[in-house]
Amino acid sequence: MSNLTKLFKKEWRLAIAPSIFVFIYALLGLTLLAPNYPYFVAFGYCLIGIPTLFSFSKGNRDLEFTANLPISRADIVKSKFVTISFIQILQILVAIPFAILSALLINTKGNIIGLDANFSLFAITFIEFGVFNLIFMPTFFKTGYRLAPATTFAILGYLFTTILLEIIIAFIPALNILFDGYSNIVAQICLLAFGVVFYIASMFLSFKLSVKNFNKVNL
Amino acid sequence: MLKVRNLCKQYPNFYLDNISFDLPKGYIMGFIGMNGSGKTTTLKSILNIVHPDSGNIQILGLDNLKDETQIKKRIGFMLGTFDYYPKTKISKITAIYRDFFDNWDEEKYNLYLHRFKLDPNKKISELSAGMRVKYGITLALSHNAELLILDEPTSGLDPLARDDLLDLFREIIADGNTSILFSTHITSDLDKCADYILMIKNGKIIQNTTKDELIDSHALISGKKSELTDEIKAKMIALKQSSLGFKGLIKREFIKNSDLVIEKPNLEDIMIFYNLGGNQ
Repeated sequence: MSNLTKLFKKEWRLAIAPSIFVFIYALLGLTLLAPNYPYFVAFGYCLIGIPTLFSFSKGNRDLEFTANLPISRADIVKSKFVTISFIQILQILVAIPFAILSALLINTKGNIIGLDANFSLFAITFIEFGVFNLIFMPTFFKTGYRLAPATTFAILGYLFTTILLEIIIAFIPALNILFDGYSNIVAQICLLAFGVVFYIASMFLSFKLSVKNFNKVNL
Repeated sequence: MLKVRNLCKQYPNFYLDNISFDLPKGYIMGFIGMNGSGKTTTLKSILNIVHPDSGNIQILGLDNLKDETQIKKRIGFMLGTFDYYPKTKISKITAIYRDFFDNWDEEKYNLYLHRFKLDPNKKISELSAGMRVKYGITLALSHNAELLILDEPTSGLDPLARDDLLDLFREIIADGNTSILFSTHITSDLDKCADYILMIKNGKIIQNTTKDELIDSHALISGKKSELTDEIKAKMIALKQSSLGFKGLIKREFIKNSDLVIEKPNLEDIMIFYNLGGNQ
């Protein structure tokens, strides 16, 4: 078993307890079935859930315990990244069937509040998650215990990105035709690909910054 | 076994000043100092949990920064009581912890659980402070560590448990391959089991020698007030005065033929007088 696998196991058995919360957050993908609803909200719950899980870890003095183990600080940070990306990707995977049902049965004439449950919605979700991680993780790992600044700035970053992207797509007709609705699938898949690349790149950068910050922390 | 050189760490209101010492293989070193004197910061710096500003530390012949993970597999340490995951059972924590050590010794682990009367089905929050210390020590001891670094392992223990732990320390080093560095502010712990004494005051090492040498090289002198000359006063490490007379600690080399009462000090006397301040 690699160190990362052992740490991932530790995350689920000790740090995130009870881990059932993660699956409850994921079920909020159900909101994609609501008619005429701002669907980005469905993914926002998951981002509020992440600081909550970190707060469980903090209450358990998880980082201090983990620092006693024969592993590097980079591995400690990596295990937290694996955990949050697991939660975020799970959220997206659980939302996919509801998005399909929403498109086929609920909002067949289009969602009048924000984006439809289409590829573009998932694309901007990846971008929003990327922005959130880029702010939340390095800010948290500056101290390893202060959650308020990390949460506040990351949620603000998420809201700003969401509002900006939703407004751009809603009010610029050319973009609206391309990315809203269900007709321009190719353009939407391209946007999705961009979202995935953005997410991966932001995780990579966020990880580098977090390790740099955490290496300076006196526990 | 453990070599610390010129360790410095600056905090806003505290400075760990150029700490250097060696702990040879097969011995116990007691690290003694008052609360806030820098014991925990020194131990945490050795373990790279606190990052020193400068200094060089070698553990088992390896560099404490470059080879940190390898070192942590081969040493056992405990900083304070075990107060992680308060609502989790001991058995569940151990199940995760042992995965990280290739040299985990389940038989030894069970032996210590039994010796310390620890119930694996209890949650951490259900343990007394002393029992939490014992659980921390159990984890540190159960992977055949070659060096044990323990921060105040006797704090919170009742006299019987403390005595048993100190006996255990002697048993552990009996093989000649294991060393123990432990901090304490209880001098009787050291009377019982330390070979070397490292004494720290305000972030500075003030004594670093064997226990016997430390005691043999000092003396307690006392006398009437009229016998306290400026010459004696200047040579004393510290002294206490009352209306009847005085009592103080002095290096034996400074004692000349005199009518003053000379006694052998114990570690507590040495620690107290050194921390009273004065001429050291």
